[in-house]
Amino acid sequence: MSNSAVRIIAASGVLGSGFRESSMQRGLALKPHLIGCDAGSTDPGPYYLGSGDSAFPTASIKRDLSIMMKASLGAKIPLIVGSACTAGGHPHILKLKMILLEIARENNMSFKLAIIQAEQNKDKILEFFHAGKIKTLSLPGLDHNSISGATRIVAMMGAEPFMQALTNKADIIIAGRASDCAIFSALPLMRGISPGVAWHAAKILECGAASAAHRVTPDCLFAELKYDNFEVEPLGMDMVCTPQSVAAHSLYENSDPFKLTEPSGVIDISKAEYCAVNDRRVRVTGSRFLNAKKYTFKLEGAKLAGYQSVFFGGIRDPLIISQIDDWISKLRNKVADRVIDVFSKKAPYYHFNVALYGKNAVMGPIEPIKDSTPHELGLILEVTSHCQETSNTIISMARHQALHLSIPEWSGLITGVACRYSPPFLERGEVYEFIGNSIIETEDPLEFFPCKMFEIKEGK
Amino acid sequence: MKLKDMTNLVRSKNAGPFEITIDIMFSEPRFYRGTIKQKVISPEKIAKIYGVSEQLIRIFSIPSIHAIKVSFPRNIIQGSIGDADNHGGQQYAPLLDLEVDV
Repeated sequence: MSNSAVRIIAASGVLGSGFRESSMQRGLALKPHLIGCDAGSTDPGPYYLGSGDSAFPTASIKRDLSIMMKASLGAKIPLIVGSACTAGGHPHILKLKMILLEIARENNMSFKLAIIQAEQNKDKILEFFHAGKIKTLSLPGLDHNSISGATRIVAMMGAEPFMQALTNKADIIIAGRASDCAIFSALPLMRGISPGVAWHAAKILECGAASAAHRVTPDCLFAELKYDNFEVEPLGMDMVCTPQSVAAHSLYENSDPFKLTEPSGVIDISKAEYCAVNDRRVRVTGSRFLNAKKYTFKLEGAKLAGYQSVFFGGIRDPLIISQIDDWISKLRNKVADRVIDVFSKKAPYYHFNVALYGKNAVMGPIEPIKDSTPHELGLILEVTSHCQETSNTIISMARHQALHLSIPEWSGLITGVACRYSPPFLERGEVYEFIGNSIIETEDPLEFFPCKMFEIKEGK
Repeated sequence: MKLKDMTNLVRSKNAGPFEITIDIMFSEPRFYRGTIKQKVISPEKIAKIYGVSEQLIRIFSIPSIHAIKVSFPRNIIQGSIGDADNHGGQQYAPLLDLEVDV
C-alpha cells in the first residue's frame, strides 16, 4: 500500500492524432510522474498489421512525439509509447524508432531508450499451438494452417514488460503491440497503487480526452492516482469530465461494459462509483482487479488476401435503376463469361464484388429497407485475385461490360454507367485479412516480449 | 416514440475485429426504463435484425448511466473481402426506428 500519489499525462488517444501543446504544458505544471500514449489499434483494419505500414502519417507522429519527448526529458519523467505505428510488429517499431532518433538528432537529446518487441516467430507460435496452449476466443480460432499462412502475428503485452524497462531506468520506452491500459498501469502498480485503481485509471487514460463530456479535439488527459481512488480531468480548459461522461466512456469499443480482460487478469468496474470533485474533475472509487491464474496474451494475425482493383461509377437512368438487381446478375454472368473467354483454361481464382451506394451497400443483405427507389446509384466494382495484373484485367473487363450492358427497354448500344475517372479503376494493391481470435497461455509475462536497451547520446 | 427520439447517442463500433458493439444512451431515465420493461432490445429482435444467432448476442443494462449495450459477432470479420463497414460505425441505423410506448 502506498500513500503517495502517482500523476500521469495521457498525451492523446492515439499517437499522431494530435493534442494541444498548451495542454501538455498545463499537465507538466501539475508535476506528473509519467507521460504515456497509445499508438495502435486493430480499428484501422488488417492492412496495417499485414503490410507493416502505419495508419497515421510520419509527419503527424513526429509532431506529437517531439512534444512528448521534450516534455518527458525536460521534466525527467519516463515516456511510454505502446503499440508502435498502429500494429506493433517489427516494421512498425522500426518506423517509430527512426522517427524518434530523427527527433533526438535534431534536438541533441540524450536518454536511455528501451525497445520492447511484440512480433512473434511463427515456429514458436506453432509449438505453443501443438502443446495446446493457444485457445480460441471465438471462431475462427488460430490453427496450424492459419498460423503457417500468416503474414505477421503479434502478441499483446501486459504491464510486466513496461515494469521491467522502468526498473532498468529507461527514460523512453517504445513497445510493439501492447494492451492500451498496460502503458499506463505499469508505473502505478510498481508504486503500490491498488491494481483496481491502476488498471481502471489506465483504461480511462488510454483514450486521451475521449472521456470528456464533449471532446472538442484530440487532447491530453490528466490522472492522479492514490491507493484506493483516482481522479481524472482533461488538460484542455474548454473540456470537462463529468461523472456521466467518465462512466459512459467505459462502454466505448468494449463488448462488455463491466469487465475488461487484460493479460494478467480482469478489470471489474461493475461496482465503480463516479463523483464530481469540481466542475471538470471526477473521482472514481470501487474499481477492482481480479488476478488470473495464468497470463494470457491476445494474438493478432493478418494474412495476404490478394491484390485488389476497384472501379467507381454512377447510374442515373431510371429504367436501369428500376431493374438494378437483374442488371447486376446479368453483369456477374457477363464477367464470368469474359474471364473464361480471356483466360481460357487458366481462369484464375478471383472475388468479384458489387456494391450499390444508395441501395444496400452499407448493410448488405440485412438492410431492412428493401423497396426504396433512389434517383441515382453509386456503383463500386471490386476484384481481388492472387496478382495485381489479373485483378486489373478483370476489373477492366467488368467495367466495359457494365458500361454497355443492355436492358430490354432500349434498342441499340447504350452507355449505362457514368465513369468518374480515366483510367476508370484504381489499383488498391495488396489487401489483408485478420485471422484467428485466439489467446496464448504462459507462466512468464516477459516470454514473448524481448526488451533491448540503447544509450542515445546527443542524438546518436 | 422512436428510439432515435429518446436517446442522446446511439452508436456502433468494432469491439476488436470479430465483434460489433452498440451503445444506446437514453436522454431520460423513463425512456431507459420503458425500453427495458417492454424488452424492445431483446436477443430475439437483435438476432432478427442483424442475422446473428440469438445465443451469441449479449445485452447489458447499465442503470447508472441509463444505457443499454448490445454486443454480437460480426457476420464478416473486420476488413475482410466484402466487409462494407471497417469500423462498424454505421451498424446501429436499423435500431433507430424501433418503437417504445412511453
